[in-house]
Amino acid sequence: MNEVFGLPMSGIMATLIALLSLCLLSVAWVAWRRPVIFKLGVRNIPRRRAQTALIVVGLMLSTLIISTALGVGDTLDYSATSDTYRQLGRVDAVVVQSRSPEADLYAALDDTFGADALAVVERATAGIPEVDGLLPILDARVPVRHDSAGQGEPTAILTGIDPARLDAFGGLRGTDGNAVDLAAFAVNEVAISEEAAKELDAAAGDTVTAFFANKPLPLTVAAVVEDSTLAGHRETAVGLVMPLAQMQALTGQPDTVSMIAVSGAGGVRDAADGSESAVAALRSALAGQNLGVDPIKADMVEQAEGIAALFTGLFLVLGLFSIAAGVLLIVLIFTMLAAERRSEMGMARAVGTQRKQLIQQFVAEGSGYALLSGLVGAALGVGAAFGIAAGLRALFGDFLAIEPHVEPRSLVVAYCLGVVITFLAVVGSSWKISRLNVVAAVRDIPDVATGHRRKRTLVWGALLLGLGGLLAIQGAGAGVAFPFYAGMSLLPFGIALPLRFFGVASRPVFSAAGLYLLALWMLPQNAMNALVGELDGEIEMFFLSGIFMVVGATMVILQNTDLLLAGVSRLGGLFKGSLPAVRTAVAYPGAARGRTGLTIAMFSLIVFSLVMVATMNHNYTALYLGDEATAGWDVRADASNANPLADFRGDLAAQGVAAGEIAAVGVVASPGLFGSEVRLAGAPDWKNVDLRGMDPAFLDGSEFAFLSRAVGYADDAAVVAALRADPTLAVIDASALDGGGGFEEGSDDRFVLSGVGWDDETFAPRRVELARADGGISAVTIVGVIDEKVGALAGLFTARDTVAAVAPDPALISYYVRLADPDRADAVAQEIEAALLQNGVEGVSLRGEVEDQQRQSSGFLYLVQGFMGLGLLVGVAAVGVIAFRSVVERRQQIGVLRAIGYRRGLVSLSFLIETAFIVGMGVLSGTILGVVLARNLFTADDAADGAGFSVPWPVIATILVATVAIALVMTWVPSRQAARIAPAEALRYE
Amino acid sequence: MSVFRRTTAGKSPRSGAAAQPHPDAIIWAEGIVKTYDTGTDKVQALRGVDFAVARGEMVAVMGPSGCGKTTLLNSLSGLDTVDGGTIWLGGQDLARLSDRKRTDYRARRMGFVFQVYNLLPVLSAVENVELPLLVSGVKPKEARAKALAALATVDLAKWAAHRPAELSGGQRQRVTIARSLVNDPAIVWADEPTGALDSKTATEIMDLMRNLNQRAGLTFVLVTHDPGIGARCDRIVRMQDGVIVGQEIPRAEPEVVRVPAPAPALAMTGAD
Repeated sequence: MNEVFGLPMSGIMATLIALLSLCLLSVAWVAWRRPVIFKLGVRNIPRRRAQTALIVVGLMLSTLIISTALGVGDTLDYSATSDTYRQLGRVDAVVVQSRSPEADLYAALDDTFGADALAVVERATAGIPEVDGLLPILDARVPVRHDSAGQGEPTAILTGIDPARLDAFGGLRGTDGNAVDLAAFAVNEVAISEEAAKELDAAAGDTVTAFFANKPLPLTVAAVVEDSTLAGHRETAVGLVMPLAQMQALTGQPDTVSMIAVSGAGGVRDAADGSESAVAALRSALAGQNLGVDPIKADMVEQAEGIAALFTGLFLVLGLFSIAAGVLLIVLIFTMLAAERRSEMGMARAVGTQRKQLIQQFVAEGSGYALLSGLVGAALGVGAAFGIAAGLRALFGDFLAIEPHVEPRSLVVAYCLGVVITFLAVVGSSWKISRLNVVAAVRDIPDVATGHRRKRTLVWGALLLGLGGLLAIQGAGAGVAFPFYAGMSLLPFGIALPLRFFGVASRPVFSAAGLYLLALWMLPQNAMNALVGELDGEIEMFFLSGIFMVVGATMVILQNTDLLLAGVSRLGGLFKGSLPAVRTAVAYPGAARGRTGLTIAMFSLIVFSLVMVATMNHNYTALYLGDEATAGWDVRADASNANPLADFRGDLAAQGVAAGEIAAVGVVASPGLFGSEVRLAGAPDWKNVDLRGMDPAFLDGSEFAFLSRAVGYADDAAVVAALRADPTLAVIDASALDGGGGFEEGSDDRFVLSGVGWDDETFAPRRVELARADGGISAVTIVGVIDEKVGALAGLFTARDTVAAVAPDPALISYYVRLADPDRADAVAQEIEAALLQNGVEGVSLRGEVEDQQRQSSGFLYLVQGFMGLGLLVGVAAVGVIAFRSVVERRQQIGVLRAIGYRRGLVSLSFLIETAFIVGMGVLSGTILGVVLARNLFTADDAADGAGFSVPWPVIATILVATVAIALVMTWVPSRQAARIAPAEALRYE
Repeated sequence: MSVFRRTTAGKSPRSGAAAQPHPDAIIWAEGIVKTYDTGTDKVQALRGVDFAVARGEMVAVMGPSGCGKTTLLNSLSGLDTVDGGTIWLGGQDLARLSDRKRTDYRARRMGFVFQVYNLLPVLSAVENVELPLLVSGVKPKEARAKALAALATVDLAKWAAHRPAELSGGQRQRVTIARSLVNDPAIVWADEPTGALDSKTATEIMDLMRNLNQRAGLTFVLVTHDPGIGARCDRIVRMQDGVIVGQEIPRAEPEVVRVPAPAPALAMTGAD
């Protein structure tokens, strides 16, 4: 992976290595100039091994998360590019028929042109040294049957290539690795791709039957070759290959080709690097020849890298919650280490140790932990990335061969970034804990506030007020959500701190500040829009909202712990036997607010992110699986133009299939299999969109739902009526809106209906030009944007006659079938496919298709949740650190409890209840915040209009139970240890 | 009339069948041995100690640091286990009690006062005091009332809601004493109860304990370095190197009922 967030990885790595070097140099300076201080720090590392292990686990989280995210990106990048290189081999670009020099192979996939174009291309490439080979190719999309095995494939690519020119492209290789001599093939002999052999259960010597123009073509399998473009293998089709001349003769297309493949000088991978200049030169040389060049390999590699970068970014942003929780954990760990050594530190200060030397001592120790934990985190991150890769393979393995792969560079970046984050957190924590009152520390009594500190409180208040105000004003002015909300969230602290300075009690001040934050972030989107207008925000708002909501909730909880604890205590009174355990359990969290607050915040953050994603996933899955998804149809049967159907219903009836079951049939014609060229009127460049021509039956039978309508159309029915009346009107699905492109978003080829927003209920009708096969231009006017909920209708839909004028010979005819019994959709789809196999008809159940898509989407989100669940490790480590520390700190108190009659079980129970309370508070607040925010976002989405919001309680319950259970297990070990301490021994402990 | 006699060396009290405790003895211990294994060394903290305390008696155990005073107290109270010997506590053989039963016995019948107070810092005074009652299964309301009464006994009713950090050393020790007597114990164990206090406060605390001993008949076993404290007890037991080397009865305080020493030997000395 070469880029993250648009920044080159090599640059990121160099910067991070420099930063890490700075950190390490500062520690090295301490070791050199202050060896005693350094030794005092690092000698603590091996002192308590169990504690050190927990600290390493806690500190490794940042590195683990980053390393996992980068590893996922690397895996996707490597898998997708490997797939590209494997498939394309030495094919770097293709020349196809195109009006524009910048051609799109997929838009021209079914176009053919005269073979004399080869001479034109040869002349054009004569002066381009980067080009070392040209290969004319003729493709035909055909169904294939292997009768003796009873297998068939509705869509295969029968391709013809020129054997004489094959050497420059590396030739054809059999699955055994040996070269296959295509020139020696007899008439009607083919090589089939490995995938085709598998699907057809065919081997060398078998006879398979392809159908072209409704005529059977018996073909003898001469060899099975590796899946590649040369063998006809495509993403969605298996391949069969034969010599070009035979292919032309067999299909009755003499002197015709579909494309001319171009090979660049160099190998499979490095030729793509130098193809840019060659492609530019070739495009220039072919100008005006009605030929265009598609640098297919470079494009696919770029797309693969883009997708990988997108995933990495997504994982990194979502991982920010865990990283934030990890930073809190570092602060917690060092605060507790400082508490443990407080007297020691006080005495050190008393005998002349400078404050900075205390900081240096902690930093030296922390650096040791950080360097060690970085290694562990990076290694475990590789494991986690491989785990996610396995999940991705299970989900998307049919489309992409996922191969786990992590670049050393990514590990270096993850290690450096993780260690630097940890180092900075350690320095911050050390600075904080070095500010101790010497006398209070020596006597181990609480610090007292000083006037000096109070002045600083006032200064901080003023700073936060100013910064918050500035950010809020700037954000509101620019219409950007991030600075506005960040500013508005800082303001209450700017007010609260001066109030505290002037002596107002902590509880009302910080409770009010916390409630304000909760109100600000939990207010429904519409209400906020009404107050400040619409503000632009992306996924970063998810992180910001989580942080501030958790801060607000934690403040409210901490300021009112006594009330909550009193409730727990009363609850404990119901269980008489456990009341003493409850009494001591609830006392400690209130007495150590900082520690309690940090732990609650950690769990709250992690659970919030998990619950939020789970709830959104649940609701959007339900939304897109609604009744609207299939637009009222049950089955779609796709027939290619190679073997057109004369009469769909009649052909089926002749085969005795679905007779009496079909309630309605609508027909949609698509000029291209991979889209058609269109552009907004007045726009210079042609873009790609799936153009669909609807017959009246389809229009009548479809249940349209529109996200927005052109001005003048009162409701959805008015739009449909207009489509029926005027063949120059069209509607388009919502993926054409800005931001709706998914992985295609940002692609230069993607058609975007600019000027229409997701929240627009109406828009001015938009005129769109359609590129006609005859070179002319047709035009339609878009009057509706189809709702995302109608997943079955994707593309630009207009009248069939209009599309017929654009492309008289459509590449694909889709028959939409409504059944009397929709539950039979899967069976009927299979029956149709079997009956019309020789026409290459593919039958799909629309509901099944939608569900499959949703399953993949949900599955991916589950993987994301799993990744975010790594953050739970933070919580677990935190609970472990706290529990182990508590046992050490309270050893003498445990002795007292045992002396006055606490049984072992009661001591243990007390620890468990304490953990359950703290973790429970974090989990509860995270759950409430996650559900409320998810509800606000979902109900604010126009796509969800009218859809009910529901909470996935089983999933949430699983998250909550697992979280609390893990935390309790983590406490159980030290609590048992505490319970087993002999009272006399505990009482001796100081 | 003193019933205590010094045992002659070489006549082990542990020979023959285990003797039954004297009916007036609340504590009756024979041949207590306790060894600490430090990994490299074995330290014999108690080397065959015989010891008895009568109900209502106030006994001070004195001796130099490391002589085994606290170990003896911990062993007798069941806070620690012993490696040899028999301890009868309120008529029950301590060795035969499970940890659970010993713990329950402590909750119901014993009170503890420690040198460093050992109050739970996160609980208020009254919450600290009522804890043994809650452990014993007393209802919360009743426990609270009893705890407040106990605090009143030690003159700290007004400080009931305060946490230990907000109290002086003397006040904290009074809270500890209130906690030790709140469950109406048969015996109170006090390990250096005045060790962390100034002399005036120490005298006040000793007055309080002596008062409880004399008026309420509470049995006290105190470990102390302070001769002044010892002098106010009914009996002083002196220890050195894990054995009892002598005992004396201070003249300052009136005598209480005495208990015969464990048969066949008499208390006060180790076997060696």
